[in-house]
Amino acid sequence: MTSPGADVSTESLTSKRNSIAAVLRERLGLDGLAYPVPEYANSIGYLLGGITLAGFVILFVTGIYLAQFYHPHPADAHTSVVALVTTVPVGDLVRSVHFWTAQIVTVTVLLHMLRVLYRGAYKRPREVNWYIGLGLLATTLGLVFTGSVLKFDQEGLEALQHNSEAAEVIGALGGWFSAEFSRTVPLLTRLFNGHVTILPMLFALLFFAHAFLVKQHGISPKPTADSISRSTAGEGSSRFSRHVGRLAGYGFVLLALALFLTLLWPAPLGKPGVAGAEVTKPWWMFLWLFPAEEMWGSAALPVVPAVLGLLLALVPIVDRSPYMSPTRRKALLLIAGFVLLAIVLSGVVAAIRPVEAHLVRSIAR
Amino acid sequence: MRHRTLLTSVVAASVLALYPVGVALAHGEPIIRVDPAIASAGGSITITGTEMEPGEVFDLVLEGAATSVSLGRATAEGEGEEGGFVVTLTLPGDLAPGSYRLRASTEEGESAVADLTVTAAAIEADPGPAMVQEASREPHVLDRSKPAGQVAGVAALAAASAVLGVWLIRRR
Repeated sequence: MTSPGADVSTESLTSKRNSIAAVLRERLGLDGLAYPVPEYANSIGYLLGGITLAGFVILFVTGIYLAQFYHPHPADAHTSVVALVTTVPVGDLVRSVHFWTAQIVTVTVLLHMLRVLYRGAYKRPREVNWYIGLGLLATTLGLVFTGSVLKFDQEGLEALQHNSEAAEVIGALGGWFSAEFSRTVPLLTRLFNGHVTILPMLFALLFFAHAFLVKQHGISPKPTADSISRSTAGEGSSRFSRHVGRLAGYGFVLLALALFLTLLWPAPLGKPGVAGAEVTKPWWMFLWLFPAEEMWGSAALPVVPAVLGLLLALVPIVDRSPYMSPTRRKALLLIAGFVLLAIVLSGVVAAIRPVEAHLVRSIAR
Repeated sequence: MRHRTLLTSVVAASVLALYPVGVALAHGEPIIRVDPAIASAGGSITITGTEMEPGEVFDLVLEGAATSVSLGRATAEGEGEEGGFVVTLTLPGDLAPGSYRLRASTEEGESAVADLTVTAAAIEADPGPAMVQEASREPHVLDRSKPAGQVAGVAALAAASAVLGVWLIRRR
């Protein structure tokens, strides 16, 4: 039993809360976010892109902290990472959260792309957004690659050496990625610039274009047997504000996961890099290129991803039917599945085989 | 008619003016390549020169932002007009890490450049307890233990983040 005084107090608190919410809604224009979206857009499959964005927010914040202590020069890079891990307050933790979030984000961005491919969400009128998405995927992988180099341990230095070899293969196009681009600024320093300025800026531009087109075209229709691709803007029983709420929820879960992984396995750091050697393997997202490098040499490093990117770019051009159902796109999905299987198998082979075998095959080639 | 004469004169003058250059570059522009393109101070590099005239002597100089270091000379060998050289040399152990341009030039003014990134000598680059001189895939041995309070704080933050996340996901 509650007293009448308590009721008044609760009522006053609720009223005050409502009035604060109303003020915020009005001043920040939050009602503009309550536009309709389909209910199915709130399922995790349709939130993968948003979860990736939440991961990027974590990467941005932790990256700012790490940049205060990192020295992007070949002579000092590894030393500064060691100091960051051992002397900087929560430096090891922040670096590990940054590392694990990057791993998770790579998974979510790849799953997002695969979902769009499987569900035919690249079809008219969303072709341009498919290309922007490919740009975002390439930018994400560029961020991961440059990030893996920066620690300048043996694995990072070998990644830098592969970067130089790949730059040489693509000639003038690889100019920025080669040591000869600038006489006074080491390649490592420029890759750091790329990691903290050029690529994030590019990511932001592409993201805003991506989000704008999602808003313009709406969430792609569910791929039922006869559904056809069309704009769904303004349709749906749910609200975008609800969508953002769930997205934020998954963002917090992602942060929790990164924190737990940080406690269990701190971000790895190898011994200082020694130039001219190859004794490590790259991170899992680049490992699948190992067998291709053995077969075709350094040329495979830029060429194979470029061919893969071209195949993905061809998808909306080749598959122009309006039908979204996977059962009506069996040939394309079969080819995509075959390519995906080849990549996974290639990665598994590279993961199992010792580095020495890679070196022997690369030299013998 | 006057135009034709003028055009012929210009073409003839151009050919005559460019003739010495043509003779001098009959073997093409000299090219050098450094392998590996990233080397540690004190490490060895191999310089390969091509498109050179046999007998030409090239001074090899490593040009940095602040210093230039002479690495010696190389003489192009070969037959006819196609010559080149392959030299393997050791970089100075005290070379400052950074970006360098390796220049091979003759007294006649021919030159070729290639870029080289120099990292610290392995033994100097390692500030930690595990001093190494050879490339290693082993993790760097560091004291990464954390105070119990910090671990508990991170675990609490992770748990709070997970609870908040699940609440936001399930909220209607």
